[in-house]
Amino acid sequence: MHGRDDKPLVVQSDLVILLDESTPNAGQVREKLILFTDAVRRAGSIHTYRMTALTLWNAAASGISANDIVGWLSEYGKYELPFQAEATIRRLIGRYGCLSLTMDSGKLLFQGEPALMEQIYRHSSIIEYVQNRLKPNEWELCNGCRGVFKQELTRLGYPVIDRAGYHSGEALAVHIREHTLRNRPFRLRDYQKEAVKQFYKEGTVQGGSGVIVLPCGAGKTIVGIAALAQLSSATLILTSNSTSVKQWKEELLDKTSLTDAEIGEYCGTLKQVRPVTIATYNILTHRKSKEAAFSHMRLFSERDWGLIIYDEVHLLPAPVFRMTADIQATRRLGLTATLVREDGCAEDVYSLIGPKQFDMQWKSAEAGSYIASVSCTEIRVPLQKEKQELYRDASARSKLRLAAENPGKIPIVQRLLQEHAGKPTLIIGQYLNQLHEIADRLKAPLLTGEVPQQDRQLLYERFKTGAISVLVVSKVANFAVDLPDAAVAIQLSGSFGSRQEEAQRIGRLLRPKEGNNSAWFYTIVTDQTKETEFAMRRQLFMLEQGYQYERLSLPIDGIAALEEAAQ
Amino acid sequence: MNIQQLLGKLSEQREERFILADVWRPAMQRGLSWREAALDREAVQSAAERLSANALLVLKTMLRSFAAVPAQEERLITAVRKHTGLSGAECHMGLVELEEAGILFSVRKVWGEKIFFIPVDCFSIWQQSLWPFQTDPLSSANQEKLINGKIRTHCRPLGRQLLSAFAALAQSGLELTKKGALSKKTVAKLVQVVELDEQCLHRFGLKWTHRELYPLKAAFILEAGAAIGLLQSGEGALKWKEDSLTSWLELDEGSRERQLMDWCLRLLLPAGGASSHAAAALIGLEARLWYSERDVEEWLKKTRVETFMNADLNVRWPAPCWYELFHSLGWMELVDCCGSDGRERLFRWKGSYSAHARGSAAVEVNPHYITIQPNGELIVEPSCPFTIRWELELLAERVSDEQVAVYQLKPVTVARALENGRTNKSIQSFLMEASGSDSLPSAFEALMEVWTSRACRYSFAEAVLLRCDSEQMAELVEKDSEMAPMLLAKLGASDFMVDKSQLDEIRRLLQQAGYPPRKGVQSYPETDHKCYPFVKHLAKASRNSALTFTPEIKSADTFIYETCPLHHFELTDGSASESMQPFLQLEQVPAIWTKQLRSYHHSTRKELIEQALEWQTPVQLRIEQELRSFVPERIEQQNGTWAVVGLLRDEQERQLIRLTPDMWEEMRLVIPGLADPT
Repeated sequence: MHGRDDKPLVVQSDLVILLDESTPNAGQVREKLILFTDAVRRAGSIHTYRMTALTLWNAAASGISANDIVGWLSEYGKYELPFQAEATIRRLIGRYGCLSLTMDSGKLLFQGEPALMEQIYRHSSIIEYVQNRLKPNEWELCNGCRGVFKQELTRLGYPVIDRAGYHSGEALAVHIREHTLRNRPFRLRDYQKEAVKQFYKEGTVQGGSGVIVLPCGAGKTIVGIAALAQLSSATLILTSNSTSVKQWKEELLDKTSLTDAEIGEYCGTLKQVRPVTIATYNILTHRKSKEAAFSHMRLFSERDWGLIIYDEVHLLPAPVFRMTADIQATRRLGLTATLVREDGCAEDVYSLIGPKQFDMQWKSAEAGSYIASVSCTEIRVPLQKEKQELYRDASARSKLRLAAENPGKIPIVQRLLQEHAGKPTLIIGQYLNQLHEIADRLKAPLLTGEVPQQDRQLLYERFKTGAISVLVVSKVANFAVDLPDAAVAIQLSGSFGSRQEEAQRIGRLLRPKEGNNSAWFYTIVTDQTKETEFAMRRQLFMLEQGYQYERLSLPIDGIAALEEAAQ
Repeated sequence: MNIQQLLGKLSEQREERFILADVWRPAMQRGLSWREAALDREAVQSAAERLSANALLVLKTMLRSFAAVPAQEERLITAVRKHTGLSGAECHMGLVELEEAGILFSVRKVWGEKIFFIPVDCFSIWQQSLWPFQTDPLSSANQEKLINGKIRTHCRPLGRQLLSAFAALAQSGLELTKKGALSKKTVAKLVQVVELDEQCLHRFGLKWTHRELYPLKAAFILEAGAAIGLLQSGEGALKWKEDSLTSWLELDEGSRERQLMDWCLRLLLPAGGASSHAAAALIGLEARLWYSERDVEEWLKKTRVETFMNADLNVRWPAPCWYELFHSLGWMELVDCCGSDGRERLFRWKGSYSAHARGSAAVEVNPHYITIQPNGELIVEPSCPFTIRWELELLAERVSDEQVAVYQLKPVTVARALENGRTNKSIQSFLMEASGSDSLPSAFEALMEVWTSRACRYSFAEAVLLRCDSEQMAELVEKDSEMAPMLLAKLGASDFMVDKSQLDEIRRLLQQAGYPPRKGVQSYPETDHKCYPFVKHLAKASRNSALTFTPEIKSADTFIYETCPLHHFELTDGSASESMQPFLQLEQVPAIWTKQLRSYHHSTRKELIEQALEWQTPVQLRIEQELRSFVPERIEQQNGTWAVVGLLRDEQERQLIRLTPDMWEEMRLVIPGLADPT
């Protein structure tokens, strides 16, 4: 098979596209690709994209035709476009716009081309939702099946345009402040406006549900708040933990006209249901026993919500997905930095929250200075000789812990702190003993799950104001919204090979920085141990986002020298 | 049996005689030898035009009645006589002509039974010459059907499927169990890595060895390996013929696929019965153009090419489906359509694998065969030679394989490579060479460093040497309080003698220390069936010769039995003397019987008819002043009178009729091959 070497694309019949970034017109082609593909991996010189039914339907919705896509892929393809890929593109896009859901006098109607509807009727999984086949091109559906029906049709490969609309929900007067409560000028950045615009789609039935993907630090909370203000309706915000709840509330008060009385917190002991209510996924999925019902799920119907925001949507637990299927008449906004789900449920996010409406890649955000430019470095330190024997005899789990808690890491941290003196620095770790030890050694405050909420807020505040420059944090810091903005993060240890955690931790550094807009992420691992392997796995997501890790290895006698220097 | 196999049995003189036959004259003028002409479409076409009428009828009837299945002489003659009206002698004459030209061959079983066959690789060429299948590709108006049809999933070309299978086999080891078969685990792996749909093969009614242990797919893979000369039986294990393996891997993809297609057709055409006509028609179609199965069916009906098929060759149900087979072997794309006019299957040959594209292979020279990604992903260009892919199959996990292939290096695959004698350094230098680069991404190097840092740092030797891969590793062992007492002696800087009985304990301690030693125990010389063969990749010096690599005719190892095995039998010399024996007695009858039409007495008429029956020749009769050609079948006696039952060849209805001697005026014996007296 002879290829055209100057062309950047290879299209596979399973709709995977490889883009050779080393070719001269790769940039131009990338601009086209993002219109109808998802980026899968951006490591190295060959980046992987994938067309899916959803990406193609999204493209069709924005006016791109099958001929356009086939034309581009043929023009820029190194090899002939596989017939299977071309046929699939034409078939999938050809189906777009042929089926729709509407509401007429309270009846949910399904309309479309008779031939296509006949095809659909052959699927037994569909029949149970059909109440009455009024005409060959119009069926009446059972009430309340809107979510699951769409989900099933999507699964079967038929896009349905949901024009059944949304209910407005309880009206809420809210607007974005031009000056924050702390009297700083405030306006949405262009891409934040664009993200809200893509989600809202002028209030039409075409918009109103979907996911916005922004790197950490690029202002996902702001986008959520702007969407809330745009819709001006009662809003339920679901987030991952109680720290986030507090921070959402703080941001809402700071940047919108909402008052304290209008914002409810629904977590821990607080069960406030107010026009804007912020709850945790945890509380929603709490139940007394395995068999008991999820009693807090009633929150979904406790007010007439006009919008539900799913923060960190990649963490959404399964019971909340199921609940979401029943509330398709409510607008839904998912926010995330990554659609990578360690549990492999990314598809459920697409089908139940909605398709991706906006995606800004990390490196693009960095190029636009919307986020800081982060240098990632892995520093390998040897295990002290006296620990080596212990390590050899230990069980697998203990081995990892011994490696993670390698005391040799502490002098490195001290050295790094000297190097970045004065810069707000987070030291993040998995094991409390180690964190206590380092906090003691550095005389730095320690923030763990044991610290009461009130004290945490105080610590955040002091860190933000610069009263303290080093904060030692446990894994509670992983998912908190806008955890103190830092310029340096030093990772002492992490949860095995979690790619998501690594991404979240780096995310803590991404808020744009004054000056040269730079930030530093260090991960310290023990050389010649299992920890280096886990470190590799953890770094995969960032590698795939186009980040590079520099690697430094400390010789065995390097620690003593460092320790001496630190005295 | 195909031409190549025949060449092993034919004398040089006989092969030279074939091309002297009149039918090959145009081929000879083109400078072709018989072995070339027999497989050359143009030569076969002109030979078909030059065959005598009798030979043509015999050949056509044979192909219609038996397709590619060898035919017993008696059944063949019966079929030809039934369908053509040729007399027995004319049939023999036709057969002699065909045998003398090297178009048909025969073997003789020990008890004398003769079996005629057409070399299996000539079958489709002759079929296409005798009944050309010319159909138009799908019109652009009908292209819409393709888009709305159900496209069968992509299958890799058979060569790539086999590469994965052979790689899996090499990784699992070739040892045979006590039953003489590969282990269940190995067979399971073999079957797993090949996407070929076994059902496609089952329809051919094949028979294979170790039926209770091998699924047909496994037998098919092993048969391929044996047939192309890569695998052979050894003591208690199969063995790689490493030179052949290297040569096979060095073939360009087009040549390899065509070679495999020839092998498949050799195996399956004789097993396909009547369906093989459809296969032969498909083989002649142009690559990359879409056709409809309906047109093939229509052509089969129109030419009635299968209509003489013996019932026993046609009884297999469901009949083999060549479309599905060719798709499953990665050579054909298939689309199932369902429209208002019913179901329809559309197909096209991929790339250069169809017979039509023979000789169009080109070798691409491109040193940049793979791209190495920082995360260990390897992107493999279509032009990447199999010698490199072979190594990749060991080093990495195949994620996808079509236009380009994607492999992913993983800790487990790297450990497997180490287990098979590769090292961090050798892997990295292989990858650099294959990627045409002098460095690797630093993140990738770091991954490799981690992945190769533990597994196989130690290995056991048969002499019970504990071998450490460096002085540093040796030091670690020496200083270990539990292991040190078990080290009997230090040999050189990094080896220790250890007590064999303590081998397991040391292994456990090393494992516990986080340095799992290499599995098993090395022995010298290495048992080659255990090791994944090293193949010299990019060995340009040998690539030219590789392009001409031809496998051995047939190894002694068989995994699938031929449907009609012929090679055990003696190939007859095909000379006329044997078939024409009766005519040697021509002088025993009055010359006038053959030379002149005469009105004989009824008793003499009977004598002539009896002689015709003995020689299986026709007679010429004048009936109601018209000259008719009559082939007598038998004489019937009734109430002291006699009659002859036979066939009047110029009658529209091909039915036996009964003639009493008073029903013709004059007669003579007709000797096939002798000039007409008029």
